[in-house]
Amino acid sequence: MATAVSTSPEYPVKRPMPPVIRGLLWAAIGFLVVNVFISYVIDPLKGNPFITQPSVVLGWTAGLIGWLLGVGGWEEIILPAFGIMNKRPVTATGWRQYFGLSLHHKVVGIQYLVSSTGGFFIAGLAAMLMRLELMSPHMWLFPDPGQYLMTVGIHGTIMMFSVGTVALVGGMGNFLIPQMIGSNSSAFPKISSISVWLVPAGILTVAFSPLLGQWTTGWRGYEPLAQNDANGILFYYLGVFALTTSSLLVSLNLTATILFKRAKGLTWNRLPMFAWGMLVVSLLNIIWLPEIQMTFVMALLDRLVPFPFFTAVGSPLTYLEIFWLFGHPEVYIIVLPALTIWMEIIPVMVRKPLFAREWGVIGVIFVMMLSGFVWAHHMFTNITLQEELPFSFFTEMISIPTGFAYMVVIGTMWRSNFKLTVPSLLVLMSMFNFLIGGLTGVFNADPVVDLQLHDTFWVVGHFHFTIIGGMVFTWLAAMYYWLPKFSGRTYNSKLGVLGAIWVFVGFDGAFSLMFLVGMEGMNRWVPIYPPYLQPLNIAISIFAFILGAGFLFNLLHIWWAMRSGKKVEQNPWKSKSLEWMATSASLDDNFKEEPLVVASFYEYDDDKPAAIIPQQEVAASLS
Amino acid sequence: MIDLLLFLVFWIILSILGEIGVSVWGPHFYYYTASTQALEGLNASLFLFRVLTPIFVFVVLMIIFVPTRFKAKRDGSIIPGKRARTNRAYVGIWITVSIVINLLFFLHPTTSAAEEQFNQLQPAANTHDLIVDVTARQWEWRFGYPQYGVNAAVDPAGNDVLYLPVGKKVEFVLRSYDFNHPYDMGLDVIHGFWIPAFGEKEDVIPGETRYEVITPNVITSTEVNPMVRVQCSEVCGPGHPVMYAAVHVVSMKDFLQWVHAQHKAGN
Amino acid sequence: MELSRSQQKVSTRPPVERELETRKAFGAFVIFLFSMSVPYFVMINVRYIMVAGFVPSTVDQTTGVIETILMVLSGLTALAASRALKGNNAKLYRTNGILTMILGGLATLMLIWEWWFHPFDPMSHYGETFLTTIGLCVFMHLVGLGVLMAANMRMKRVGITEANALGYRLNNVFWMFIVVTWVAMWLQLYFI
Ligand code: HEM
Ligand SMILES: [Cu+2]
Ligand SMILES: [Cu+2]
Repeated sequence: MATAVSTSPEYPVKRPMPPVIRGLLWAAIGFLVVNVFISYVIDPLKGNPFITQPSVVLGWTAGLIGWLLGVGGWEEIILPAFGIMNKRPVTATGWRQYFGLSLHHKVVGIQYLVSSTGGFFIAGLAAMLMRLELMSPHMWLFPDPGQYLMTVGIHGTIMMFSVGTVALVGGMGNFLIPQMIGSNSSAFPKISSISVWLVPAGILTVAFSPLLGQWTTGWRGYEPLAQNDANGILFYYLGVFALTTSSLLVSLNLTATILFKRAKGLTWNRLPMFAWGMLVVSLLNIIWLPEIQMTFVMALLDRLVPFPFFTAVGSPLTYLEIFWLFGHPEVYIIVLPALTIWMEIIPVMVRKPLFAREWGVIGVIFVMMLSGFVWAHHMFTNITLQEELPFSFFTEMISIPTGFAYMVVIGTMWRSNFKLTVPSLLVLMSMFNFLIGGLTGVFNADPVVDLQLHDTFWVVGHFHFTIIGGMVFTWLAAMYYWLPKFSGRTYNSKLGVLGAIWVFVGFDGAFSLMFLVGMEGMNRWVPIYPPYLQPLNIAISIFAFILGAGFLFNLLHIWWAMRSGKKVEQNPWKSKSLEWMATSASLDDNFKEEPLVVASFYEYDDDKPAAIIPQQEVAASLS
Repeated sequence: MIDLLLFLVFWIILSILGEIGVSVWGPHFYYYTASTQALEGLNASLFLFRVLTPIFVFVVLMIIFVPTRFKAKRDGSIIPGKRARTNRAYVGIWITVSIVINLLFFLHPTTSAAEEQFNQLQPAANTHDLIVDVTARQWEWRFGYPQYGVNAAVDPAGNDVLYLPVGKKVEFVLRSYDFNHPYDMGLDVIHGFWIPAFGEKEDVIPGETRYEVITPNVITSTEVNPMVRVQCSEVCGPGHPVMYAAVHVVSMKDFLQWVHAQHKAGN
Repeated sequence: MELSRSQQKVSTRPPVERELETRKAFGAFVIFLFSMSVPYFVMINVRYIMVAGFVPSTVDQTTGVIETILMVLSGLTALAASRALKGNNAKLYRTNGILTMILGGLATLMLIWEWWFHPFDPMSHYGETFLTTIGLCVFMHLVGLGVLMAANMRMKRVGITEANALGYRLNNVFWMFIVVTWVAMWLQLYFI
């Protein structure tokens, strides 16, 4: 609840410590003080053991608060809220800006992208370990099955809550949306500046959950099994709590930005597709993230107090029900931004107006609305027949608006001037993979068939095709496409094509074989399986390693391109969108003057600009 | 026009090839089936494959056709035909077809199969079924045959084992509790009762009694094909991967003999 | 809510645009409040799944009524404080703010009291949705009191300016939101 007053440069430059270091220090102090207080002073057992369930939960909370205050929340948020203005540090410059609170939406976007990438490779490492273990039908890499299951859980949790939900929203959204709608900042820059620091905290909490003991529930943290697990599950709840809070704050900011910060002339009819994607996703986040957080608080209380909400004496299925009530919207939270990125990239690459744009918008809105009605399709094996039918119905129906994305993109490509570049190649690959994800989903939507497919590797294949195929491939496409916006440089085409084909081969090889191994009787969450399944598993693992190396290759290539790729002009794709008129590769204001939007951004049948920036050579930005 | 024709020709040819592929490979989709329910699932998926093949071919062909045929000839904008921004016919056909197909899928196979399942679960139809009590605990399956007075079927090595007569409808009664700790009856977790070759699984939930009806239709066993095994399909803790049991589908005569042997062994 | 940039611009803009900016910021705040109401809906939902309309016999109706009266009164004083902003009356804002904190603080103390002494049985499947919902309310009330406190001290140190008036108002709106959620929870926990 802060109301800031402008920073005066006269305040002495006194920086006691780099923000991240101070954050760590304050976090450690917060944790230790509270933990010692709980376990020595309050706990009748007087510090034996030093770490108890309540002490670690409250200690972690204090540590998280210490971290957020330490990285800059103290000066930026708390003090101004109480009306104390003069302790504010001078805004950092240079690379330092990336290691502290920043009010600049581009810096925040990059911070999100870096954290997300970190999460992706941590969880990817876990996936590689899993695949290594699965090359043999017996335990050999992990000491016991519980360790393997915990690795599955860490992989899924970090991937979902720090990559799937974050990379395109917190990352691309923060970075691009203000530029795309002609604004110099997001609506509430302070919110995003602090929320981004929850991501590393959340990732590390989940990654270090083994310190507290094994948990075997997988990414659903599902009850009643979670009750049997050791305390590691606490860090699952807490880490996810930090990560979802971050996404929730980002969504509030992005919604407000899109609703209220648009440039003049940027009517709803002209709103960029990616902004539509961010808007619907933010609404989903705003509704469903608090829902799952409350659920996790209850699950936590189930353990701490203990309450019998979700145990066998309570109502064991209720947890799964409210989990999937969030869980299905979650998968659309992951994929809707990707679908709208297709619609951003393709018209530029094919030099043709976006086809049937209104249907693209209708599609994402209907997906958003229907996504709350399909959750029980994750529970066909534990509900009754009568309950199955309506959910099966809505699940089948949701494929209609999802298909609109294909209708729009295909309509745009048809008889166009298609330019095959790394971004457009990756979009095509993403369309192919998401198609497989979607069509295999039709089988899952049908209860008789799903009773066979559920909880097998078929499902593992299905959801990776939708998530990696739909979201991660599009994320790559977006990174290559918007690379000049980050650094004013571009990638190397040959290496880019190589990288795209590399991940495509690795991905499709590994995950299409998972359909087969699932049909042949391999269920999920098993480090030990009947030996007849070994040959297919070895093949999957080899492809998975190829895939892992491919992701690493793309990371290095993008990193290299950002630092020393070929320099390009401001608008290398000759796009009409506003973000290409904004300053690139610098942290100056996006627009010196507020732009005036005069036409749709997707009209590639003429060369007229879609927006005018007063006092700026418009022609220069377009040609 | 010529683009469209060319595309249509490719689409039809490839779809036909795809359908032939479905006919050849489709019946092996479930790898191995040993119950009428698995056959129903297989038929339902074959139907889905049939309808989805042209759709799959359509999109994939587009993804390949467009970049090869409409390659950018020059850099810059083009002035496309009048219908570039929208095309009523295309949008109309797309939306109608996708609605019709999804409604079709809901009627068949979804609802038709559900009706079949309803009928199978009707108590009246189940009076002469074989009843098998399936109890799951962390981490063991136990099978009882209340009609035959067998409490916990085990093989000579002492492992839990499931014997079923071929061609007879079996009603599994699924419960999850720890039978070794009756004072702690309430406390167990969710397990999944799955025999891959039977094409169906149901979760076993503490505090609830659930049912699954299966009619095995082939004489077979875990030794014949490892897909004929009971496998826990819902993660239930570190013991989850090893929570399986052998299955034997035998003739009625052999089944009765086996029951006799179980009695003798005092199970 | 942070409003620095837009706010700084506001002060240099004509009144119509300022009004518009204020409305926009207010709109964004309403979205935030909507999001904050979701946990309450979850608790209502879970209560119905688990215990339907069960009201524990140990619930003390008198306490509930007193709490609610205190909360409603504090809502009124918060409203009055909000009004005081229009007249640029910092003193009135602070007086009303302190009244709000006293009334709300008393209500919160009663809630904590009730929560602490409510009988608790780890095996009962009835009592604990009551406890959890009250716990959620206590938590939100404490956050709300913190926010009020911040507004009060800020008013003392900085006073009202054109740029920061909205911030004060939103602080009070947040408290009113808490009052509304409490009344809703009171109705569902004690009666329905
Ligand atoms: C880098 C390539 C990847 C590989 C090789 C991989 C592999 C795997 C494997 C082997 C499992 C375990 C399946 C099981 O036993 O149940 C799994 C689970 C999972 N993966 Fe991935 N994965 C990859 C990337 C991703 C990505 C990018 C995401 C999401 C953004 C993701 C989300 C999940 C989820 C949610 C689970 C389920 C975890 C659970 O059962 O609780 N994975 N993955
Ligand atoms: Cu779902
Ligand atoms: Cu299991």
